Amino acid sequence: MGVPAVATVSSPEVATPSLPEDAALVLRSQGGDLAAFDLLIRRHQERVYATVYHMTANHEDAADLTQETFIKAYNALPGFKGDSGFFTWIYRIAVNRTLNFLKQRRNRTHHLSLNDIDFNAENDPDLVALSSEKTPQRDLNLTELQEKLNNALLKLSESHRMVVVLHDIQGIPHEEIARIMDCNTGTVRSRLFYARQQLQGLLSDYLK
Amino acid sequence: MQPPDDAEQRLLRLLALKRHEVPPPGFFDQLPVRILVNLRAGSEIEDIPWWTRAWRMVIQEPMIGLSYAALGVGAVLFGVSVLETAIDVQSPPVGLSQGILSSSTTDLIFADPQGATPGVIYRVAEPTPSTWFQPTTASFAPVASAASTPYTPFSRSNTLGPIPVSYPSSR
Repeated sequence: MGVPAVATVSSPEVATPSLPEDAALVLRSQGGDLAAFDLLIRRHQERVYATVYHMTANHEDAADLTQETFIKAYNALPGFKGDSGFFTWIYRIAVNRTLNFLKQRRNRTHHLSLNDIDFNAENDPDLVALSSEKTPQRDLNLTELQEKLNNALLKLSESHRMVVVLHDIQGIPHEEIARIMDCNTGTVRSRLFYARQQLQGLLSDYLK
Repeated sequence: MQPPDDAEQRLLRLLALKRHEVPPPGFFDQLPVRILVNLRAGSEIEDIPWWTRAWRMVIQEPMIGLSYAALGVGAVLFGVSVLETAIDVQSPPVGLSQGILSSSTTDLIFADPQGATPGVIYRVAEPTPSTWFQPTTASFAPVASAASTPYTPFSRSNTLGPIPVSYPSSR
């Protein structure tokens, strides 16, 4: 049985699930219907987890933070007015909790606890193209490359890393990221530009 | 040299590797259950007060807790010693003031008391508290005018006692 890869969002349509359904489930959840909230969790958990995981590079931390995010969201549901989509709202909670967590973790020793790469990676056209060329990563296996990549990501500041995770990994458009991170689109583009520049410098050996 | 766009494309391809990192099998089946169990139990994610965090830290890291406890005890002992010193400074040892007085007043004779008026009975007042660097001084205050009474020599010691004043009989 294949394990689904960590969810990514490839288009704005997918990024914003059908609002009526979410809105109806939110209404029922606000009335205390845990079954409705269960559906909301199952709908959004993979993307919330993926965001937190890519930010922390630690599965245990990501699992705890994802759980805290949904519990916090449920307790805060009575105050949710529906001005933004539930997707944006819960992402915002996850992002804020993750950034707070990373601030607290900054002074502690941190070890990577990376998830396994799924079997589909070998069939990914991007990775096939990458590994078919004469690059240093040919000498590395995927796990080592994964660790190099994660170490480079962890060298970015939290806000820059968050933009890379949301845009380049999760595929969320700039405007949605701006709403999630409560900043303007120009800031998102600027952070993305500088983050990519920095990553290119850190991973230069693997990008030739 | 490769154009920047190409390097960026390669970076994006490399970042695509992240999309293939997956949690352990069954994780996404268990997570909603765990969340709902916590919600049914009424648990809330709340801002933990500092004393709770401190207590948890003591429980989890006993050595750090002991270190903090030792520091606390040391601080208390230091504070007590400072306080005792401060009290001593405010009230110099009794022996010191008595020593000064006794050396000069064992046989205190008002040979030439400043401003002493003949016929006025003087009493040795309590030594005023002094600081450690100032000698204790005794002050003299008039008790009563004895101009109309015969002068009676009194004990010339610094001990306070009944002042022998003789009054004329009412008749």
